[in-house]
Amino acid sequence: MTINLLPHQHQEERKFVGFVNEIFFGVFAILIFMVIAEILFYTYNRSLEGKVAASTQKISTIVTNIAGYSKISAKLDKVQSKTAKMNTLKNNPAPQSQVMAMISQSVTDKIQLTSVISDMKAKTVIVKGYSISSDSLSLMQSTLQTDEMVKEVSLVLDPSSTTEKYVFTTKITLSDK
Amino acid sequence: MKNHIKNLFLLLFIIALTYSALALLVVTPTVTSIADNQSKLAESYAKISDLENTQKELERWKKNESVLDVMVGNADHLWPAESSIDTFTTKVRKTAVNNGVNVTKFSFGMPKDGTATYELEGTSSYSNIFQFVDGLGKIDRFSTIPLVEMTSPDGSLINLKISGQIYYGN
Repeated sequence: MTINLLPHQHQEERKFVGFVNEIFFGVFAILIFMVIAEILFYTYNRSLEGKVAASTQKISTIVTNIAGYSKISAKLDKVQSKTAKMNTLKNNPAPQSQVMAMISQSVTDKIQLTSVISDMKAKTVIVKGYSISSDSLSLMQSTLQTDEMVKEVSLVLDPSSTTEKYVFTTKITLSDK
Repeated sequence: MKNHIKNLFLLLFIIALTYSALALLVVTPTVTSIADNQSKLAESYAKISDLENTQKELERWKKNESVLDVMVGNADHLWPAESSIDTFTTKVRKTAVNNGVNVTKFSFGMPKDGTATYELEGTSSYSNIFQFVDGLGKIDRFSTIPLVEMTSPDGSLINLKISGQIYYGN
């Protein structure tokens, strides 16, 4: 490919040649820009590669250091594992001793219990008994309802109840807390 | 003139081709590599941070190894490696005696999957039984009580039935 620049060329051809030269200049400028950009990218990338290599080395060093604490690490794992197991079993549902304390606190002298079945798997406590006072039963129910272990309380009077002896069954549903 | 225009298009085509080749073969791989290395570096820094924290934690425990040994001892005591039930049985009976509960049955099932179940039956008053169940929770071997049944057929002494579990293993 050649571009004729002889003196007898037409005015339009000269303009054309000037236009082509401008294109060449532009192309050359872009080329220079790309080369500079590539040099900068390359330099930055080399720097990154160096940092990656250094960090990999650092990881390797720390891992080696940690391996030196294997005895301590094993002890910690043991404690954490057993504590986690105990927390899982202890926290859900609430322990029986707390349930017993809760029932004990809610029952007044005027209430006689005949049966308490506390089932932690079903998260329910069935309390049966009788009372000589309906107020005592209301008090028991309201006391149970305020306990944070309790999700729901239902109290049902037996048909055999009289105004002197209220036979009841209370179903307590325990919360997941 | 037509020839010039033809040459111009040819020139532009060659330039475009050259730039495309340059971008595709030189610049793009470098940019991709930069992105890849930046990602690797971020991951490495995060990992280093985690590992350094772990190392600091281990160094701290190394300085306080005696405290850690006590914690391990307590954990082993609460949750022993063996399914041995002798000590637990003794402590349950002692708790029963201390709280006035007359134990009529106390039997263990076959240990299985790190658990040994037990059934306990006894008689006493409600207040004694409440105290006894509370005492069971304070025995220094971890156990759970899935089921407690108390009945008073004649309104006097309370019959108690407990289904419990003790745990073992590492």
